[in-house]
Amino acid sequence: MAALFVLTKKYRHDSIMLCDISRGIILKAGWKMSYTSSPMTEAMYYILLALMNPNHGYQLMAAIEQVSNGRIKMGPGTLYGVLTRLQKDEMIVILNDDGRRKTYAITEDGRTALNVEYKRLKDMIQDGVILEERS
Amino acid sequence: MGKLVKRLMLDDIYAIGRNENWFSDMAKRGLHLKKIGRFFVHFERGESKKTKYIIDIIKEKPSQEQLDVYHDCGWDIVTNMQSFYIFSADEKLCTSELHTDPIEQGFSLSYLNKRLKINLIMMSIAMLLFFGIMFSMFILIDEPFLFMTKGPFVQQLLVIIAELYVFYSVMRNYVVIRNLKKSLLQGKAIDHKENYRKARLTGGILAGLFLPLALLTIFIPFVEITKSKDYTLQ
Repeated sequence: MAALFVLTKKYRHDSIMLCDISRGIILKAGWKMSYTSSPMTEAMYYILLALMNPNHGYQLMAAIEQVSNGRIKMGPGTLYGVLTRLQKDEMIVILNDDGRRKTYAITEDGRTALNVEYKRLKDMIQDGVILEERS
Repeated sequence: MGKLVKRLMLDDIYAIGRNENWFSDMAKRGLHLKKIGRFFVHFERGESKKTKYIIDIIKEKPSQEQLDVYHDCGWDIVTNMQSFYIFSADEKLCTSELHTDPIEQGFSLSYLNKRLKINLIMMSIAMLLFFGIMFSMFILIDEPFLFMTKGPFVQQLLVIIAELYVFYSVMRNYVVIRNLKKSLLQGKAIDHKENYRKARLTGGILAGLFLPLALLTIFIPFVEITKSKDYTLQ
């Protein structure tokens, strides 16, 4: 099968790379966004998850704590670092900015990336069933 | 407002963990960070306090909303130098660490890492050109050994040493940030208690050696002019 090459922007490194989509390196052909097969960080995953309901900075920190059942207590530096990057990657948008507070929301690209990551994590859990069988 | 005290910035701002620890130790001694410059750090004299400091590298100026959220978590902005923003928090009032994900912090260094890499490449090209010019000048002279005994040669030698030190600094900064980024991406958090004493002592010795050398390179031409009969450089 002839290899089909496309140019894409490699997620996280801002560099252009040549990908062979016939081997399934790119998750979705024609996807304009920069997210490829790299796993998401925990912070990125939970921010996107919490943004399924539009929210703003401080409340978002509380929402992440809530959605992770108190397991994740995200620092404000991490939160704003990820928000800036996600905005640049067009995975989230600012819904409302009244000068004092910005309300963020997930985009269609962000939702797709989140679903892909969710499927990856689910597959990993399913593959790990062998551990329960042996214990 | 307490009395302002100046201290020499003997370490590079790029040594994040070391500087954070130094600022915290100064706060314990009653000297609270106010302003930071290339050569001097300004502290305000006050009561001894346990304060945490974080040096954050942010490409764009933080928004008011961002600063408000930081404030609600106990972190306040102290000062900044270019992209280096310094935040402080009272150890008793601080509710959360500023950064809780080293990998995400590592991504934030990409911009600075790229900028320092470009600086290093440009500096390497400039150094090659500089040495090419210096070397060709030496070769084209009819009596190179006689030239060595004269004033301009001493000045050129000092310029070479000063240039080499600048090149070393640019290279060291790039290596420090590249290694920091690599270690953060591996999930290792910044050591906020990194020992700074040895680095400040070394920095002090190097500054004590190279600053007079740099000054000498400026003054030698003036000495040459005053000594020459026609009051111009040849």
